[in-house]
Order: sequence, then C-alpha cells, then structure tokens
Amino acid sequence: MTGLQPAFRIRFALSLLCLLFAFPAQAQIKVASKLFTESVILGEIARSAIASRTDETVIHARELGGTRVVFNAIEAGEIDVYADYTGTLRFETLAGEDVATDAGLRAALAARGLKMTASLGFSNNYAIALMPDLAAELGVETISDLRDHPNLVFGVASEFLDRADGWQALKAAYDLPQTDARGMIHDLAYRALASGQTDAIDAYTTDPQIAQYDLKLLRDDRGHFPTYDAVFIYRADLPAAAQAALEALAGSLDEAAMQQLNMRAQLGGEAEAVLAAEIVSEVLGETVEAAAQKSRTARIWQRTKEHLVLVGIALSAALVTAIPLGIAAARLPRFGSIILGGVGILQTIPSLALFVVLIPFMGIGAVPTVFALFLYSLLPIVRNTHAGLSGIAPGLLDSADALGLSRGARLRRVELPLAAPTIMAGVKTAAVIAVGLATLGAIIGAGGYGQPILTGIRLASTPLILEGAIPAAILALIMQWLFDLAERWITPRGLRLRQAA
Amino acid sequence: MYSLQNISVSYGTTIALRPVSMEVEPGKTLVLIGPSGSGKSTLLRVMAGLVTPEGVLAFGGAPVTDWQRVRRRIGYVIQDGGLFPHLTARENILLMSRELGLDNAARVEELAALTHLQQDQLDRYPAELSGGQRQRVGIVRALMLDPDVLLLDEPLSALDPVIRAGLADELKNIIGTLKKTAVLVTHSLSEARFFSDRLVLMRGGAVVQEGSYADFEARPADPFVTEFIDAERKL
Repeated sequence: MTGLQPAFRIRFALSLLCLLFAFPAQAQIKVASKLFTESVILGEIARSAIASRTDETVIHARELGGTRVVFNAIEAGEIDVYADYTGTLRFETLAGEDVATDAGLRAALAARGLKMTASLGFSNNYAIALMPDLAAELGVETISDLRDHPNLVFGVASEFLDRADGWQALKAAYDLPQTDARGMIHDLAYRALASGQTDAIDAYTTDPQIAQYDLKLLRDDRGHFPTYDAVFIYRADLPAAAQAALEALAGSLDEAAMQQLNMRAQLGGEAEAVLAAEIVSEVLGETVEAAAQKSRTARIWQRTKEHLVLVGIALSAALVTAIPLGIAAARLPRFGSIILGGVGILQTIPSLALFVVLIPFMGIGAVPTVFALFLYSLLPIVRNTHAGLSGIAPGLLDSADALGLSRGARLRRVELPLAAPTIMAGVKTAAVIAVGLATLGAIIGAGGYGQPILTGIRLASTPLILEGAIPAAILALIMQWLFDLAERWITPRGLRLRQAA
Repeated sequence: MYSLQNISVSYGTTIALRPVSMEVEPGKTLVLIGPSGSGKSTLLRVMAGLVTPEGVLAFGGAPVTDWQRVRRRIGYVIQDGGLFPHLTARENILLMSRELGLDNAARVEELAALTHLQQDQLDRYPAELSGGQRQRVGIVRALMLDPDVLLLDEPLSALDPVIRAGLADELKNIIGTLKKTAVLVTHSLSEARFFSDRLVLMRGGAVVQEGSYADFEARPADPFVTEFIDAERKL
C-alpha cells in the first residue's frame, strides 16, 4: 500500500491542477500579433474594426510569438485573427503544399478551418537597399547592376542568410560575385548600413527606416523575390459580421501608408491603438475611440496582478505535488532516485523551448505558463523536502519508533516539523525562480511583467524595458523577504533555540 | 521477560551481531558492556524492536509478532535523552499519550517528582535544559506508559562526572522503586557493576563472558576480559 499512496497523491494533485486550469473560456474574439511593430499595428486595426462592427468582446494578444507560435495558436482555435503575408504562408508555414496560386492557398487554409482576406493593399517584400549617396556614386539601379561591384559587403538578417530562398538563392538568381555577407538582427542591420560598416542590406519594403535614411531600393529586375501580400488570416467559424469587417479592410492600406504607420509607431512612439483607430474611422467610417492609454501606475498594477496569479497558482500546485513527492523520495530510496532524477531533468529543459512545446497541448496564455512554472518549481521543493527528511538524526527516529508512534504519526509529529525549515527554504527558492521565469510567459501571451520588456525590445525603448524589469526584480526581493519571514514563523521555537545555541 | 535464541544481525556482508542466546529475567537489571563496535547497542536495538534480527525473540513468554503493541510495554532511552528538539519537555513526555488519546497529565507530575524535575523545566525546550535535565526528561518520557522494561543505551555517557554519579543513583533508585526490568548498555565497567551483578561482556559482535564482576576477575573466560578490567583500572 505504501507504494500506491504517493501515486495516489500525485494523481490527486494533478487532478487539482486540471481543475485550476479549467476556467470556463469566455466567449470573445481573440486577435493576435507577431513580434514586430507592423504586426501589432495590423492586430490593433483588426481588433478595432471587429469591435466597431459587432457586439463581441474583442481582445488583442500583442506580440504573442513568432510565425510558428501564432499559426499553431490559430490552428488550435486559441486565437481567431492575425495578420500574415502570402509569401510567408507559401514558403514557410505551408511550404511543400500546393499553394502556388491564391486558390491553392485558400484551399490549404480551408482544410485547417481558416480563411484569408484579400490583400490589405500593400505587400511587405524583400528588397536590396543601399545608402542613397553610395547608390548614386556606384550608379546602381537594379540588383543586376551589383554584378559590377564584387567587393560590396552585405549585412543581412540571420534568417535571410539561412533560408533556402534567401541569400544563396539571390546570389544564384543574379550571379552575384559578392562573398562577404554577415548575418545580424534585422533592426541592427540598418544601423550598420547607416554607419558605413556594410554596403547593402536586405530590407522589408514597409520598414520605416527606408524613409528615415532615404534608402535606395534596387529594382528586382529578374523578378526573383516573391510577393508578400499582407492579409488577415481568420477562423472560418468567426461570426459573419466580424468576417465582413475584416474583408472590408482589404485594399485599404498602400505601401506608403503602412510605412508611415510603422514610422509613427516605431520612431515617433505613438500608440498602435491610436493609429488603428484613425485607419478604422477612415476606412470603415466608424468612429472608434482608441482605448485611453492607462497610466503607468495602472499598467504596473495590472501586470503585478497578472504576474502574481501566474506565480501563485504555479507555486500552490507545486507545493501540493512536490512535498508528497519529496516524502516518497525519502521513504523509498530506489523510487527516490527516480523522482529526484526526473524533476532534475525537467529543470534542464530550456524554458523557451518548454513554453513553445506546450502550445499544442495547452494552447497559449496563462495555462501553459502556469504549467511550465509548476514544473520548474518542483525541483527545489522536492529536493529540499527529501534533504530535510533525510537529514534528521537517526537517534530521533529511533526514539520516535521506540515510543510506538505509527509511521504516519512519526511523519506528522516529528519528521515534518523538523524538516519544515529546509522545506520552506526550497519553497522560497522556487518562488524567486518563478517570479523571474514568469516574465517569459509574455512571449506566449500570458501577460505579466514580461509584456513591457517584450514591447521595449521591439521599440528599442529602455524606459519600457525597465517598466517590466524593475517591478520583476522588486517582486523577487519581496518574495525573498516574505518567505524569510514565513521560514522563521514555521520553524518551531525549539529549533530556533538550538540554532542560536 | 526476554528470551533470545540464536539472535543475529547482519547488514549485507557485515555481521553486526553473531548468534547469541540469553534470558532477561523480570524485575532484574542486565548490563551489556563492551568497547565500541562490540554489538551491545545492536543487541539493545533488537530488544527495542528497532532492528529485525535472525532467530527467535520472545517477549513476556511469547514470540513477538506485533512490535507496535510490544513497544508500548518498553521504555527506550538513548544518550542525551533523544528528545525531539521542536517540542517542550512536557510535550515530549506526553507525545505518545496524546497520540493514544490518554489524559496522563497527573502522571507527568508524579514522575517529575520522582526524577526531581521542576515545573518550569517541564515547559522548556531541550535546548534550554542541561544534559542531566534532558536525560531525566528522556527517562520520564520512557516511563509514561508504565512499561514493563526499560532499555537504556549509554544513558549517562554524555554527562560530567558529578551529575553522572547523582543521576546514576537516582536511576538505580527509580528502577528499584518501580520494580522495572532493565537492560542497560555502557562501556564503563564501574557503571556496569554499580547497576547490576549480571553483566554480559561483548566484543566484535559476540558475547565473551556472562556473569558478575567478581566472576570476570576470578575466572576470566578469555584474556580479553582481564585486558578490559585492567584498562579501566589504569585510568
């Protein structure tokens, strides 16, 4: 029976966990965006268009994740709408399927319960860009002209360097002689170009930096780059009015307009919601009030609540699971090494990978985040429970047995009180780690302090990054302090005397 | 009280106790004596049901089948008392009574008087008590359920000489007054002969000689017996 008991407790704890997760899903329409500014603006436009034409509650999960995360989420029904590009769908997401034509693309999406609007009016294509004075000096107009200048240095996005349809394909298509191409983060490539460290870069045609630096875009005279038409992808089961609102946006934004919006958001610091409200009033003729920007205090308070909910649920679930596991590990040495090894391995899974791996099973948002935090909280608590129980002097256990205490009474009256300070120290470690790790939850839409950090990285805004980082650090310190108090409170008085002696 | 037939203990390939047979008579005190590693504590732990041996062990005339019951008829005291540091002296003493739902508050007073423990000492934690007081609390705790047998593992070894002599007197007195059967483990020959004239000298997990101190002196069964006696005399 003793072998079954821990298993039963694990099951009990897991079912408790499921209960926590089974919050009734509210009926609402969920828009999402990828991790770059244009995607967030388009997300805001979709949100405000649907909200203006329907009575539904529409929310926007900003910066939900990269292409793969967002597509998985809409396939799983976790979100309903997001903006994408036909080229990305053809060559990345649905690569290998029969999607060369728009009809083929629509069919492949329909098979997944998805629909696509007509083009929003602009495409965001790859282009090769040079600083204007260098282009004038070299007299280059087309990509073919680059063949005469073999010593030019390219600085391209790492992704472009690696992709089959990227740098190598471009070189082959144009017989380009240049050999020096360096991979870097896209936003940084512009700075390297402007400072003269590179001569040419791969630009996206709606990037605001093109206007900012007045860059020369070379004509793709061999028609090498595919077209990346911007479209909304949405679930086919979306209410008809919402679908109509999205379709009404088709053809409403040209390249110059999108570039302008990107510039105002990224370089001018204007709120995406304000920009979106403008576009929706213009295109749909609906008066849309941009939600008033919350004060900084209100934002931080909101995120503190989100952060505390993530950490609180994960930690409570870890407590009711890890303490019985730690007891089982101390009681049954063979089983114990399996348990300790198991939770140890969980700890080694890279957290970013774990978040993404969980999406197909748990979707996005708070649920997978809480689950990941729960898994990471197990090790410190299990290990300390095991250590606390194993560290009790054998003479005391003999005394307890000789008194005639049953195993249960011995555990309750003697072992757990003696191990309590050590267990508590494990809980404290888990709590502090969880506060830090929970900031990663923002990349899968869980909110919390990670949200301003993500946005801050996207907009290169240090104040915004600090708006997440400082409260997270303070919360970790408060946790540390609170658990120090709790540790003192839970340590029996007799043990404190012994430590002092 | 106890009847041991071919009792032995081994951990894997390590032999802690070679087959030993002996009787412990009711109302008498038996002393297990020997150097460290001689197996005397292991033998005591067998009698306390803390180690499961090979062989047949009978308690009160019947082979032991349910240790949980038998343990309540045994009081076990180790060096320094073995008190739980998170409980006060009184809570230590009453732990098992409370577990069994017995109201033994009056008995605590009785036994405290017998062992010269003050009221205020009963409400202190082990860390706030002297070594001698801790040992008294350990003895009271062992006596709470009025056991038939007291098993004492080096009860005086951690104490300084004056306190040790005083407590030895009291302990012998308590065992006599309450008419308990007692088995006491010690490495000190003078302590052994103070408590009893029935000594069991052990070495390397085996019994070397059984008898009184006078027997050991007059008729040593082995050169080790003489060596052991001389060693203590010298110091």
